[in-house]
Amino acid sequence: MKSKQTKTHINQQLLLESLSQHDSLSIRQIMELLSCNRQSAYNYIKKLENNGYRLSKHKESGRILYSLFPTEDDTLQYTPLSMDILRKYTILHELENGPVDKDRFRKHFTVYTPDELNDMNDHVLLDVGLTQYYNLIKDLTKNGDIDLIKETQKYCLTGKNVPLQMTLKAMELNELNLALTTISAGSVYYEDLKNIYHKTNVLLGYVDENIPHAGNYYIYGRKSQISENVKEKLELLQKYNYKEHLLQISYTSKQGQPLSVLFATGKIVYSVEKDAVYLLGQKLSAENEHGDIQNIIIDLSTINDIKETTQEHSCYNSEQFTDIFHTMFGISIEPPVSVEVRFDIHGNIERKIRYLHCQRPRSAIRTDTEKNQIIYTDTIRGLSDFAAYL
Amino acid sequence: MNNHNAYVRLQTYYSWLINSEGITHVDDSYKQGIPLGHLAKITDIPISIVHQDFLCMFQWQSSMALASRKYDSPVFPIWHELIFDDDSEEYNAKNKSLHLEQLYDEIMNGSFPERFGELLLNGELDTIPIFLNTEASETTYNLSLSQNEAAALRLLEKNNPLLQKNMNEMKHVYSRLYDIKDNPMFTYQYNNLNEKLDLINDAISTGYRLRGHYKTSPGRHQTIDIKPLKISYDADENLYAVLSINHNRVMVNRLDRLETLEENPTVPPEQEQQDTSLLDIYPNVWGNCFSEKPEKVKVRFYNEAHVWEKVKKELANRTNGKLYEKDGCLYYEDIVYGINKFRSWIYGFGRSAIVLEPRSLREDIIRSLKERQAGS
Repeated sequence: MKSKQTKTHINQQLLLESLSQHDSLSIRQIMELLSCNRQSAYNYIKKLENNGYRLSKHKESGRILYSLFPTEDDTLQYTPLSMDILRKYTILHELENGPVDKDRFRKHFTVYTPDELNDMNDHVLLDVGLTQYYNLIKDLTKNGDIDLIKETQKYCLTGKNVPLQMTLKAMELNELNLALTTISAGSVYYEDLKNIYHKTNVLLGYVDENIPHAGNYYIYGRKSQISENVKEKLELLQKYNYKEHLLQISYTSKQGQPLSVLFATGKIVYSVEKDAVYLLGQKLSAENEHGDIQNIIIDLSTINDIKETTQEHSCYNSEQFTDIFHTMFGISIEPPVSVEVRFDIHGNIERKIRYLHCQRPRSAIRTDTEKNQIIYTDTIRGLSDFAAYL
Repeated sequence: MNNHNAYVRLQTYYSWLINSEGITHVDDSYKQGIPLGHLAKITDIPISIVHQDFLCMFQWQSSMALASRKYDSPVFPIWHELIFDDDSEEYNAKNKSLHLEQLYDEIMNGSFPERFGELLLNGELDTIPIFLNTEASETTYNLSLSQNEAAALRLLEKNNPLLQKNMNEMKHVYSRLYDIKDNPMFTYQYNNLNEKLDLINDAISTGYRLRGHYKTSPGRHQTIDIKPLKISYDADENLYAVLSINHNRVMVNRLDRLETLEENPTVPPEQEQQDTSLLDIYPNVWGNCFSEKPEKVKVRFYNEAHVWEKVKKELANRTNGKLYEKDGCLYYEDIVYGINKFRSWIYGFGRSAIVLEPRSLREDIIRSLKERQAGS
């Protein structure tokens, strides 16, 4: 039997976690969350305040709502661990080997309908029933920690709040650690690779915090790194269900004009060449609903505000935007153009063209031995980028 | 990702609690497991948070133990089970006074004892190693990655076939936040890049000489014997080259052309420090042209279409030059070794860049632009 003291502690943690995850909660919501009466709910609020948490109170639509104030005490920034988090983690762990069919996924666990056999061998134990299991799945989906792939009706991990797990044998971990000792400060994602290096050192029991040979490199060219600004914008974007709902996005154009568009996200793309993240998608307006659809690109760093609407779309990772991604040379949504270019084979030309062909799935190359030429054909969006490359 | 996130903390705990001598020995201070007090120190998570987290984890363990009594299956996934190292001196000392064995039995019978919670929160159990019961027969590790770190590894694996297997598996596991558009300028293909870099870095540290076969042009090779001093990396083209000095001249050997490379055991490591002052000009060098004649350059950039942002980003590593704003324009002045490569860079800015010095480069670019205009 759980002790009263421990139950109080559990409920406080639950309340704190819920306040951290929601903008505000009403007394009724707190009562439902903690399965307690009104007075107890007020007592729990008081207890949090006595423990140093600051809560604000405001009225909205006739209800009193409570919110958690941000605080300088670092321990208060730690989201409490709860039984539901442990259960969700158990569920997520079952997706680490790959996406699983939605209906079959339930049967990985000891969660059965009343008419199913009570045969639990080879299943992962969960200490909840069917209803609570579905609530956990709903939470995970709502928080963006799992995705249901429409085409296959399979659940898969996203890595949004729960770090992705790479399972490595000892030799593979050593190889990764070794590969990371040779990265230079000029590498794209250098800071992230350094973090990974530190993690591999921890797992291997090594002390070295710094990339060992960093001082041996002379670095030229641009300093590439997805900026903190863009990382923040990516985190902001992930708060919304951009994959299924239209977003109202306010951003600043290249000319410095403030713009606002109703946007259906088709793809999110990081361009290594430009070291920037872009949204590709469809711009909708009252005119567009019945007329031509206009595809646009938004540089993520120029976004000022995002609001999610309830209007649905089916653009995300659609065939259309996958084709745009594969055919654009830089970042471009111009109409595709078929190109054929003949290069005389000398110097490094053949190597460069073959490498380009590897990068571009819609391209083809053949050689004309008579004229000693290599012929490159492709379907390209963004001829000016291709021209600049040439 | 940081430890404020409860999932991240959970993964952090699991990655340490697999500590086991002879298998996954991540901390050799303990034979098996890690005590909570030590865990708080090495992870930088406040001990009060660790206490609360582990209270929750033991409570859940008890709930799972209770649930398992309904079924025939083993209690739960092996990697969830927290166990005290009852062979440790710390455990045996505490067990006598605190009856830990009995308390743990109550947990595993599905009845979480209040007393255990008190001991945990008061820190009385902080010195006893706790481990995860993995029963691993093979040493495996779980490396947790944020979305950006996973994207970073995807880019790294393109040059490293050894990493490709694991990254291929990960590609099927999770839905990516974003797709990566490769840089078409990254045209250099490498064989065994990491092995070569490792060898060169070791040689730089130890003073060993290296020898290998180097492709000078299609179908032609030469044997090289060098004492590596530095590695140059061009981030715009993903081009690696090893730098050495021979007969008072900087030698540059591109790694994509190095077909073989090994230590030269016949020559002992050079004990005396070699004069590397010839390499001090490296911030002024373009295209690895260390031996070319230096030229003074001055360029004006107009403030249009993110040109200034691009210039500042691309000149970030050119620490000897002067970059300044004046009269509404951005100016760059420097001494440049490798004027041809510098010229190519300037072409990329079109009419937004005006070369003021040297005059020969200015005239060259104007002539080239006129020819292009005439051609179109």
